[in-house]
Amino acid sequence: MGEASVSEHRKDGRYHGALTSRPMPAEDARLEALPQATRETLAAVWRVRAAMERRVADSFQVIVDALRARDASAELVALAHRAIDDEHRHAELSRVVASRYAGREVPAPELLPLVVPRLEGASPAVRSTLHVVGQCILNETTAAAYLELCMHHATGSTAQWGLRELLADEVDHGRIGWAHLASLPADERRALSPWLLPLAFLNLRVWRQETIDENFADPVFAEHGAPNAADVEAALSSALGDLIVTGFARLDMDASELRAWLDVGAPTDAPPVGLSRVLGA
Amino acid sequence: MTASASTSRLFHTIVVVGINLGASAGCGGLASGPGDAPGTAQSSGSSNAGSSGTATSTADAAPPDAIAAAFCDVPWPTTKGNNTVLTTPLPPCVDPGNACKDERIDTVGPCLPVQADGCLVAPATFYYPNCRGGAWVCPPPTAASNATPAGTCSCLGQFRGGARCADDGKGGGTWEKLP
Repeated sequence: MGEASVSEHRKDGRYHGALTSRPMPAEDARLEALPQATRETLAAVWRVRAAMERRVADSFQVIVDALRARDASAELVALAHRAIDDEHRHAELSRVVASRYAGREVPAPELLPLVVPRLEGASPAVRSTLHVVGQCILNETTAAAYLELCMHHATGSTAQWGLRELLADEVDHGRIGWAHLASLPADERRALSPWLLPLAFLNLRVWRQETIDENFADPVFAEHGAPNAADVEAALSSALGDLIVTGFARLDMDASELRAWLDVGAPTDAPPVGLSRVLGA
Repeated sequence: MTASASTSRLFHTIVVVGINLGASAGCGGLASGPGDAPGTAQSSGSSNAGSSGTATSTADAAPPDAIAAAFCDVPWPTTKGNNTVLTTPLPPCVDPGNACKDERIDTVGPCLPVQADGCLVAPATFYYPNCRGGAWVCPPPTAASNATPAGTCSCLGQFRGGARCADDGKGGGTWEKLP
């Protein structure tokens, strides 16, 4: 199947201009056996993912700037810079997968706007580091856990291929955040602790909004990379509790508020008690 | 692989290796546990990827008001989702009279949903501003991501691809699904 769009990934990227480390499977009998309506739904899911991946390329440009602002090592900046290209490849990969499900070339989706967290009241240095924490630690570590879940249930060879390629890169993207945090002096890390709960709250809320969908109860969707609501909820909670909070604790950061919030189910219908405000008030 | 085994592997691969990458070059001074050495993971990465440790201090005390406000900030948008609908080009009824043709639409946007708690959220889809009196305003229940919520609008509700804003001629309107 040819490519209907001009991918933005670069020749000097992770795979020297190749889209993926391995070619897409030539055949996928499970996919071919799906009803056309199901194929169209899955094509739509993967196409929206293409748009989301493309937007994250823009996110990583902000992260590159944030790391430079913090005088992060050249190696770490280079990893973040490569992540921009990774996300461009992810966008095209997702579009290619969408095309196979649709049985026709799916055009690249429109660009989604990126709105960068404002973090009002934070010093420039804190804001830069919190951007790295928010995008790399919270977002990308969660993404890796979500992809693990998707892979666990996926049986279609096309979905398995796409998910495996995505996960390999997300691991690196998550590490950028942990590496940056670990490189900071301990007192600087500890000073970030009060920000952890609001950042985690916002991250979990948007992940729930974007990934939990009761319409995917039929196991056939999980077999092709769109797991059901209950499994996604469990994976998101585990990512926050078992990976992220545990990681913060390993870095000697005070995550007690986060842990307490998780212990009551990490509700995201409203900010934790006493900390809400009305915009514009 | 069980869920716990998967979680343990992810923790090591992402968190532990990442921490060791940073600690090896930065000034964090972290102790590494057995088997936590960089380079043990499946994915590539620099073995010297931390901060240069220059002295731009982040050890500023976080103002309580700033922490409270942070709950109402926008999150980094997710990298994945199970959505099936994406926004489409601007629907014509957003500015039916073309009164805002000389105004940049992004001066208020994108418009993001405001939850009952007053917080903005940034989903994969978003609201379009509407033209009112020659200016773009965000329709309730949304607010501009970069401006104080203002104005009202005839078209309420979240715009989705395949829908259009139908004005009822009385200052109200709804998003209607296109056939």
